[in-house]
Amino acid sequence: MRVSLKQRTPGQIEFGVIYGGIGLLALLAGRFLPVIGLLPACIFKGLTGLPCPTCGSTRSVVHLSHGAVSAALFTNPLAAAVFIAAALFFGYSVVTLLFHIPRLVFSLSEREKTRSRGIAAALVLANWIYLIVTL
Amino acid sequence: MFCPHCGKEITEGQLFCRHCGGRITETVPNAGGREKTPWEDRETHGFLGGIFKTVKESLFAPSAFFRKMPVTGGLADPLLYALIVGMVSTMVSYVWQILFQGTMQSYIPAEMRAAPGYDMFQGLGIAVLAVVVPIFIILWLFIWSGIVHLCLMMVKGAKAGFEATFRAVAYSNSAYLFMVIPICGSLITAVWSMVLIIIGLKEAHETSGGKAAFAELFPLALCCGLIAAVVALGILAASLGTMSRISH
Repeated sequence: MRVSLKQRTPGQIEFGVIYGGIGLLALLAGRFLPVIGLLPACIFKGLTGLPCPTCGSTRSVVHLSHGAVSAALFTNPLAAAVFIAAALFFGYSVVTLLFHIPRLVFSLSEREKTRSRGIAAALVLANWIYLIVTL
Repeated sequence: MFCPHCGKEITEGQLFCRHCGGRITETVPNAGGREKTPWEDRETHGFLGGIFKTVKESLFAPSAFFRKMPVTGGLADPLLYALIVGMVSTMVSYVWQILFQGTMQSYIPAEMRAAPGYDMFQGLGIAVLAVVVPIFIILWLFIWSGIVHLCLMMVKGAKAGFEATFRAVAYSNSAYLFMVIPICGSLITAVWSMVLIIIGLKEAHETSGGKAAFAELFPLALCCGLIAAVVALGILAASLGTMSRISH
């Protein structure tokens, strides 16, 4: 993996602002709206008694929005980690965009990309096993 | 940057890897052979003409449309198109909902009508929908494009970057116009929008149909497919149990 600093190019899509913004909106919704009551219950869990791979994400976001980080990580570790990362990424992207600061760019080789795909799939699977055991 | 063949580091702008000799092609698929969609070429087709032609081509000749669709050029035009089409569909389906409400209510079982959240959206006026729906359309476009693109990356099918995925998903919103058909419009929309996204991903990324279908269907299958698998296993287990009782 090669890490470098690059200046933003014109027309570049601001993934950090877009997806970090969506993450922050979800946190705001969790803080100020009764999202647990509004969203339908998991069909998979209703039918099988087992949690689906995304079960607990809403509760995790609600915990995070109230500042209960450990409770959020306990409810759904991967969802909590993703939302924390999104919030941090949002702040970083906004700062680099506003102040024209060069941003970190990670270049991966094909082998590293393949390894990353495997790690991502393993993380989702491990998170699901955790949910089955704990929820 | 790194060589896509041997993984060793190479300098930017090199045409061939100095380690293995492999060709370095980091180009957008068929970027030169693509042309603006009628919606993006509004100067030629006009505003309404652009929408009409884009709807017609994307709905009824999707392979040709997405094969020609540019995979770069910004997110604003496809986003605006998806917004217009989505708003029109929602407003018309809302009118149907009001017109058919009395008739439909009589067919819905009393238990379903008594369920919590059943009448959640019935109290919303058209003005509230006009404000809320565009926000949901924009959020949904980015969320779904992100999920689909991640799934496409997992199977090495994302050859043209996120913008190509976003454009395929946005122009596939044409299928939402089927919502103007009363009663069965939503079902047609659900099926045809999935078909359009799969075709769009295949043509925009110049990847295989299987990879495109995986990217679109895997997030849905993750829940629904698992349910089907567990139900099938349950039926199989019950059948085996019945058979063993009969044999005893």
